[in-house]
Amino acid sequence: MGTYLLLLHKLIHQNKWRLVFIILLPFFLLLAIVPFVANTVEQSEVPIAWVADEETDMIQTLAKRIDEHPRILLFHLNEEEAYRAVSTQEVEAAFMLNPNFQDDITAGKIRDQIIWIRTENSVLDTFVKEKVAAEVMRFTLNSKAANDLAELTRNSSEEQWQTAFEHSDSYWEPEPLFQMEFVSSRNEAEQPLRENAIDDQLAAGLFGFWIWYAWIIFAIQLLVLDQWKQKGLFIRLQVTSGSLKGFYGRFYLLNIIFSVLILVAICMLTTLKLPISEGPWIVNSFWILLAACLLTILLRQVLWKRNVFLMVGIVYSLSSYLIGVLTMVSDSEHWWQQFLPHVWFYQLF
Amino acid sequence: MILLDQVGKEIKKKHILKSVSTQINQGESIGIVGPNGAGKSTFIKLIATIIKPDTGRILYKGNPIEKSVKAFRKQVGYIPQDIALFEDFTVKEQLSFWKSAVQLSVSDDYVQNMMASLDLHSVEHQKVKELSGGWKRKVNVCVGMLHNPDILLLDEPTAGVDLAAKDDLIQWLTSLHHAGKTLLIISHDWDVINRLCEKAMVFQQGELIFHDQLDRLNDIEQNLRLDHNHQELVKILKQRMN
Repeated sequence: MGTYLLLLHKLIHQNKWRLVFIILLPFFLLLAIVPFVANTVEQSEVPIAWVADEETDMIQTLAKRIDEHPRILLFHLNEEEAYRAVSTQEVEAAFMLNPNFQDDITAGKIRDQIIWIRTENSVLDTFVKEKVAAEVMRFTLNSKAANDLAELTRNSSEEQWQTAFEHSDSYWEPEPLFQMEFVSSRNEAEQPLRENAIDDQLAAGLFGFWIWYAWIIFAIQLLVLDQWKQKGLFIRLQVTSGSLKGFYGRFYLLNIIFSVLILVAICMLTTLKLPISEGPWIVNSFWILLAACLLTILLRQVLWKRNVFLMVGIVYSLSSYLIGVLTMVSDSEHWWQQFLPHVWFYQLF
Repeated sequence: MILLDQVGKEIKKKHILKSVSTQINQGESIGIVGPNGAGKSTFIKLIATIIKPDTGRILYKGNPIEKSVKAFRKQVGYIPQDIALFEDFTVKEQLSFWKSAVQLSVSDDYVQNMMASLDLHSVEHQKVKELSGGWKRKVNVCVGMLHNPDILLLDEPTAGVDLAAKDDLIQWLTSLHHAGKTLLIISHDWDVINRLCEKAMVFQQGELIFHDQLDRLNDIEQNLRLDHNHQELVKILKQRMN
């Protein structure tokens, strides 16, 4: 049995260069997309609307400091535009400053100075809120220090106030109140989310692609059967061993194992290299590939002509992947989609 | 041992075999001759259970072979005309693979003896695709004999081989025949038929027109080698059979 499987394995993978190509291609593809996806995630900015009726020095400085943060993209809008942008999710949230904001802060009034507008879908705006609050608090405490000094010295000159303000401000470098790492965590009932995790749909699309790759490799591996049949090897096998069932069984088993190993390896590497949210990605991919392989074997039994089988196999697997992605994105449901393995994959999540 | 009772086969609405009735006894060595398209290969394939007859029946030791095809196949060694081998295997791997595929307990001694008889040890580490036609043919025959069958069905076993290889093959097949194996050999090479067979079957347009001792055919040996003289040959053979 061992000899038989080893030799059958050698027969299937007789072209060593093809074998190396099959194994290495997905790894190269992954390495190629890692910088792209990682950069996309790391450098993604949180769009925020900034509404300020007055343009004082303090407000301009405040906006500038917030906008300087690499993760925040500030849009200066009016109130109406801000509400609309939040509702259409063009921005994560809007921060609307009260009229007389500078005077109130300078006077030490910190209550109800900023209106925070957000929706249920807003996630990362909490991070911006911390930044806004920290910067406002910086102005507030500096003003408080200058005000207290003026009261204690009974000197209300603008020059002393400004000096005290700047002296207090010097203690805020480098941003002592905003040195915490931003880590988001949700309730257990919700989808788990790692910091910088790529979108689940993007991850599902990526895993769907690996399933398609392993699936098409499996289909291509079956083409050799056609060559063997034409050479009369099956007739000989049939006469020599009495039946072809054992041969087919082992041949399909070896090919399934090969495709599954490729899929599992590349999926594991994907989860290691990319910030993917936790979930049964690999297990689900395995089951879907197994089902796809069994469907392909059935297809092979019906379509013995090499070119017809290859064409139908490619069209079927590509349709499965593309329609599966569209189904996932659009949430549309049609009965015929149930014939596509990728649709099952996306339904599992 | 093997009885064919009015066996007929039609492929693509063409009668390849027309109601053939004959008997093959154990230990016989029969040469099967006739022009191309006469039905010789189909006749062999029917006995090898590769194809099924449309009419008639084939009995093995009194029992219809379709009732125990798997068991019957273990008694049959089929050596096709085409080289049906995995070309990327070495000779040794080739034999190991087919030995495993047979799923029978084949002794290593038997395989070693067979390889020695055909001088295959000298090329056992070479890939089949690197071998000459003669060596390939030897390996082809060797694979068909791996399970030590009682009945050997050989379709042009010496086609395209050099004289030395042909000699080796004939000697080895002769030894098998002397050991009691039943041989059915299709060949266009009259030398092979003469040296290996004691009986002959002649097919013409799907009909078995002669099945008798080979020496009865010797006087018209020349005719068998000349395709243009087949009409005359058929007349003579039909007269002899009557």
